[in-house]
Amino acid sequence: MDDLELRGICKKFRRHEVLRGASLRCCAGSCVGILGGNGSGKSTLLSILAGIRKADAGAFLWHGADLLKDEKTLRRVVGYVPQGTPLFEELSARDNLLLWFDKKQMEKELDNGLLKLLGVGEFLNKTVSRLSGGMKKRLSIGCAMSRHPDVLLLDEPSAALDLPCKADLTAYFRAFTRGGGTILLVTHDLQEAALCDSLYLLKNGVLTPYDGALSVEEMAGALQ
Amino acid sequence: MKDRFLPYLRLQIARAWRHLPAVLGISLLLLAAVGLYAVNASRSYRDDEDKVRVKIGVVGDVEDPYIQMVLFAMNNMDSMGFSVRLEQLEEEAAHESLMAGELHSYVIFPEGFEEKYYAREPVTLTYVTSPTSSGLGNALSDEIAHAMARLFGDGQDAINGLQRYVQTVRTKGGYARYPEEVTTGFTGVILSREKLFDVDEYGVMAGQGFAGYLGISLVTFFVLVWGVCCAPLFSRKNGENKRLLRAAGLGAVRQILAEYVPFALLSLIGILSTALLAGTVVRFAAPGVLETVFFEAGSEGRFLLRLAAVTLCFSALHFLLYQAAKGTVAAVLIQTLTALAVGYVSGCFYTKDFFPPLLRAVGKAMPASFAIRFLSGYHFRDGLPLLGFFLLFLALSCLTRRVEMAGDGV
Repeated sequence: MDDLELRGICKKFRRHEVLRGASLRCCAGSCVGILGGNGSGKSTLLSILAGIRKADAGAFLWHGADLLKDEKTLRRVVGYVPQGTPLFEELSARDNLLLWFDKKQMEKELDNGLLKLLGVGEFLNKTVSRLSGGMKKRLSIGCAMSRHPDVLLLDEPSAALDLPCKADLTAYFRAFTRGGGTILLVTHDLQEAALCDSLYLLKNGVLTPYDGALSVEEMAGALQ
Repeated sequence: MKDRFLPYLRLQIARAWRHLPAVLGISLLLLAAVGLYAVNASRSYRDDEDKVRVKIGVVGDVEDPYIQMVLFAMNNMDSMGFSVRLEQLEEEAAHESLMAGELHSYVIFPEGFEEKYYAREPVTLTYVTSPTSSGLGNALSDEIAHAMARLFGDGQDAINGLQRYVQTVRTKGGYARYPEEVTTGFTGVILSREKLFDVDEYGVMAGQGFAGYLGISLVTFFVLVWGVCCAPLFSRKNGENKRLLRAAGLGAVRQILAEYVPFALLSLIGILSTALLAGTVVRFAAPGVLETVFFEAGSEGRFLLRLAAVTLCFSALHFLLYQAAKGTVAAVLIQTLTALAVGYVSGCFYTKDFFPPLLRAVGKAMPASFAIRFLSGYHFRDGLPLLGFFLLFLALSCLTRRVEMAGDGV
């Protein structure tokens, strides 16, 4: 039984058809990677699933319910970490967290919760503009996780991060899926793709399952 | 699920508070710049012999006291801010000065002008101008020659009629003082510039002195250009968090509301505190100037209240411009250029009635024009157009945010 299913998602920007019926299926507790070249529509797909953009057609099913038609459930079920850092740079990490958490909830999470797991406590009072790329990414994930979502949408989470940071994030994502969470991860980084249980290629607006058998050169050709 | 509006509002207030020192610092710099302009402008408008802009010669038989009264009246009316000097000269000297470009024109009063006029004999003034004369100065001197003739004629008619009336009533006794009183009153009317002619035609609002107009228009321009001070607040625009907030249920309208409220508070603090500081400095440096401005508005308190309303309207415009501009440099440029363009056509630097009709019509429809009128102490209902602009700017901000969040990026 598939817990999560994307069914025929379409999106058109004026005359440019970005998604032409993108579909995939997976079980809860798995990590699904979506690979694709620049401008292939990966981020558009995630932003539709996050409820930021409207799809022209298609469904995002979670345990049989279409989340694209139920915004309230979508907001509760889905957490989204965009490619950039959705943070207010001139404020502290604490100020940013307080946008998404209640004060009590934040303190609880810092003591013994996901914020502790992400190591946010060590830079809580620092201004965001002074944080490293890895810290900002951890903070962004912390903000996205405030509602304890079942599905985490990650848009190139480890882009421009150094190796130790990547390793930290990978460990966190593994812990999340072990706890029953589902990750949809968009990337064009093969190293990041290694974290996934299953992979899909997004090309010409359509998702096709990818078994990982292609070499880097072959995949580069497939994505073009 | 937790509603994000209040946390987002709190966060935006924290941002505004953090930027307050920088905003106040830039406000002071801006105030210094506008202050320098004001000092320079007031100097250039001062009734100084060296800065006479329109010089008109008066030649011929001008010894008559009524003609002298007219000349005195003309030399002392300066509500347009242009220094007009009427100079009594010999005809030959006037001609030479005109040819040398030292005079814009001269008016010849023929021999026995006053007697002939009084006797209802045909008599005219001769207006002489050089073929090279052109531009505003010449146009003004032309108007002044007409005004001079009209003043003299009307004055003579009034005095003549008055003398006949007094001769009639004197027979009844006890009215001997009337000629002096009424003549003095009439002279007062002549010298009272708002009753001399319809000042509105010349560019300054009816009943308003030029100093008051200049002061209020500069205050308006300051509020208009003040938007640049908030550049630090918008220097780190981030589309991602707006999209995330949208995904969390905080739509464009509520986002704009949560962002605008702290921005408006920041604007009020920045502009009112700068205005109070400037007021204190001006009170000591140039006593009397403030009274001119506040007199127009009614009182100091009323002026500040009206200034707060104008600030709110313009802050909505600043906010909209910041929404539309991408990047700090573009935002500062668009704020400055908009302020200069709107300020210019609205008459913040010159009275807009010197503009061509089309530009004048555009200027009158600008928010700054309504702001000048509102600050000048007219009815509170004059603030209604400002309220309309305020709502329009906020609505456009919401629309811009919606378009921005929809985005075309893949």
